[in-house]
Amino acid sequence: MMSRAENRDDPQDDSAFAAEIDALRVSLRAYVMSILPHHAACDDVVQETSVFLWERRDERDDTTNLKAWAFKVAWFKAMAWRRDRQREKTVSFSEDTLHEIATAAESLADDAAERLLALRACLSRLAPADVRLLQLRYVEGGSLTGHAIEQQMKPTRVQKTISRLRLALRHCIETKLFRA
Amino acid sequence: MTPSPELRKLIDRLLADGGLGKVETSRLEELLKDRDALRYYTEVMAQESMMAEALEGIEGAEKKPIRFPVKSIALAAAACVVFGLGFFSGRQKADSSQVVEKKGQHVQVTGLMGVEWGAGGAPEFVAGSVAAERVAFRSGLVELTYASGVRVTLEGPADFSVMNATSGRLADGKLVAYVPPGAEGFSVDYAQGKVVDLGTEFAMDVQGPKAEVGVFDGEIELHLPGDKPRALFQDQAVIHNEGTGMRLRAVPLDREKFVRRMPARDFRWEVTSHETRELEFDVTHLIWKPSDYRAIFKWMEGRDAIVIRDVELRRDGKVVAADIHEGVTGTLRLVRNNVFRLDVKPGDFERGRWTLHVTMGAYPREGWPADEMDMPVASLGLLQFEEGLVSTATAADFIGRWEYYNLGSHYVREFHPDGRLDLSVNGKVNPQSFVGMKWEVADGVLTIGVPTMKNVYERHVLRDRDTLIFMSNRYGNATRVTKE
Repeated sequence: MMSRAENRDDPQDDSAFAAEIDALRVSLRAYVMSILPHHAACDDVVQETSVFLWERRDERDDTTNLKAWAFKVAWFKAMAWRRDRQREKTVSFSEDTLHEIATAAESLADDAAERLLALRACLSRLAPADVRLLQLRYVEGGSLTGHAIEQQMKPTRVQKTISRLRLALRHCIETKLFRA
Repeated sequence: MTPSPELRKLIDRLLADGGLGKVETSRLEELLKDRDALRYYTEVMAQESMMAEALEGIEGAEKKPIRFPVKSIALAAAACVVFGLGFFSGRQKADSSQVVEKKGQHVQVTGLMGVEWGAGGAPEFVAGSVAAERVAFRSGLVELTYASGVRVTLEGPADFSVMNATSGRLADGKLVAYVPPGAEGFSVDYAQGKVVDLGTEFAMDVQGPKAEVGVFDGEIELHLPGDKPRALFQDQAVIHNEGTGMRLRAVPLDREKFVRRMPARDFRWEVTSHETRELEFDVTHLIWKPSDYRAIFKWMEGRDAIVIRDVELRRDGKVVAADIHEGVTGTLRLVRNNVFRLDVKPGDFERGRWTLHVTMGAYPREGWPADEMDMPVASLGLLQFEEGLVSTATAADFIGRWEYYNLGSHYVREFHPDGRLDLSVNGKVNPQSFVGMKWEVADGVLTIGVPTMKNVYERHVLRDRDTLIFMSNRYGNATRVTKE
């Protein structure tokens, strides 16, 4: 017989579940970012979701769809985060809109890994100065205003450059995914 | 879709430090009622969420060619034979200044199938990298990949030489060349002319002085002696026969005549009922010569194990080889005898329609809990149809490090000459795995016990020198690690 227990006889199973969660990370981040369009909030919710899944790993069985479970947990974690911030009068989307967004984001999640690969390829073709700016914005969390002053530009120009790059990268990704 | 300036502006502001105010949030909600706008929003958010990770390793100082992620090679290995770990899919235009002394360094053999080499036609085989200056073979398929990303698929009998980083010469045989953006200008000479690519996929069939040239996609230029270049576009084909009354004539593009990609060796199967049934797999594209073929049935997913029996290889409906033993595929504990020998003798080989027939049924559910007995049968996996090292590999062929991915984690297995096996997961050696176990090879199959499971074994075979198959685990194929 091939029971649930036997499935866990696999010598690598100990690390397999952690790896399964890790494999969902990219699509989970994309999903959460759509609901909570704020990098720090997204990081927190994804982290909390991963810990939740890990702590309850024994509750899953053969019928558990890990991705569906993870997204459901992430949804509730995101809603909890939003509730807390609403108390602080932070503006956010209505719950109806968030449901619409969540559904659309979930359907997009299947090709998250391909999107990441495409994004990498697209980034590698940017001009060095553009890459530097994006690294400052997304990796180092540096001050864009400081960067603008350093480059003798207006801060709005830096924002416009980021916007232009965002649009160009999105176009590049879609072209690559469409071609594939 | 192209976003409206308003949608774009609102999303930019949403992602900026200050966020949106109440009125702007309402307006964005309004806009997101449109399906295309909502899709655009989720695409941008997905992209935004990946930026930090995607920027890792991207250097702002200079442009570098894009290296295929090893993971994608491991995945691709399920669909085609992949030899080279070191080849590039660089999009930069190939430049004559990049030409190096040894021509073969530009080109890797990235796929072989059923090849019978001609005299002096085999490429230079070294572990992990097969460089090619010339390939000449009587039958089968060879795939070459240039450093620029150009992929040439040759069908034997064929004789092809690498001229430099941006060109080759087809003396004889059929090829299909895929030229990615950035590698335009790639050219192939033949006895009476030259094809210059302008960003496309084209095909050639050279038989002595006669050449057929066709375009699957894009545009090429045909250079004939003493004539200006002629453009050929998608779906056009010509036959060039120099010195005859009709030097050049247009013909319909014969799409069926050419092999555009290395065919997959893996076939998906699925069993969903208790009833025993016969499955048929078309393996015509994998049988190019008399040889010892092997059919491996690997379980990948589902609650049931599967019993396999009566495996037959037929040519045009007639049984040529059969292996009627009973095998089982399922989780590690249950899998046994899941490799079937199908030897095609020289007298039995002919081109034709080759099919593999197998009888499959669910493994008895003895000992299952009563409340699970009525659950529907569920089992799916892969048939891997192999030839070559699968039956002839020796212990020496397995020694070394092999990497693979499973559910996002990176694994490396190292087979030591003294019979030990080390396993590392995400860069850390797991000291508990395979402790006290020794591996051995018989009939091309490597076997090693599992410490935590008595009388349970893991088995491997080789698809080629650089591709390791897991016969008894659900993992994808592993590829040889050639660099520290």
